[in-house]
Amino acid sequence: MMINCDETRDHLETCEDCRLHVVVEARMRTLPVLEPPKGLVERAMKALPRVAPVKREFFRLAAAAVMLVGLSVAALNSGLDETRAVASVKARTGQAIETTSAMFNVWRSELWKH
Amino acid sequence: MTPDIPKDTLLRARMGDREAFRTVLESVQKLAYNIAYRLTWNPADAEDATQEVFLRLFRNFPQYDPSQPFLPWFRRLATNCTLNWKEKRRPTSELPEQIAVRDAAPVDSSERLHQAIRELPQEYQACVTLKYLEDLGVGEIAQTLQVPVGTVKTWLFRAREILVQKLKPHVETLL
Repeated sequence: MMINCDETRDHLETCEDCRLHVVVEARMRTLPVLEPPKGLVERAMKALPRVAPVKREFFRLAAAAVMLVGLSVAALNSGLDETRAVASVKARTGQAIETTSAMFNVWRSELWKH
Repeated sequence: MTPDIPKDTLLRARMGDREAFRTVLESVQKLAYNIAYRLTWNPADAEDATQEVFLRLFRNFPQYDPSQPFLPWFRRLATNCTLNWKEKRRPTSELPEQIAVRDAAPVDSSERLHQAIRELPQEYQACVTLKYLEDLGVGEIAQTLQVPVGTVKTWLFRAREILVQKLKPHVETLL
């Protein structure tokens, strides 16, 4: 095994294979780094979708939540499963909707007064 | 090759801020283009692949963990995206004139070297690009390509062997 530079040099003097390895390795390190074409970023920016992924994700979640609430209310009101528990949830939901709507009406009439 | 990108720019870009995203693209365009060029060896293809990388970055930015360094994550995305792009485009990518250029006898040692690299299997090309363009160690290359370190060592060894064998008849022009 070679342990110093002289031995390495001596070996390279006599071994064509290793010399070629060194040359190829050196040439690989000097491959040019290219400048990207002008306007590359500008063109990429124009090609991007209008809505950012984070916002799109938010809209997707919001739409899913609305659909879920809608389906739940529809299921409650359909009367397919009229057990006592469902009837009680239904009554409470109805109460909550009425209260919210009454509060909204009061708030709206207050707003009109001013 | 790539300047440091301020953390707050990365965070804003991740949240969908377009100006911050543009700043990120300006910082990484040279890296992305050079990775793409050394995997496609064609300026037009390199540009198309880079555009694809930028689009993928835009879509996948929310997946970036800001507690981790950005560049290794981006390098992985750029390399994998370019390899996928190349895989998809392979059958129709080359125009007749490009094929003529590709198959023409290389005139100088640089072209000979380029051609020899171009003829390497795809994974070897990726290894060689990351090693000699980005000066990455085998560990970092393994992380980028998501393969074991031993595999990277084998690919690099075989790639060098193939290159040496191909360039052996022209050794005097390489010196």
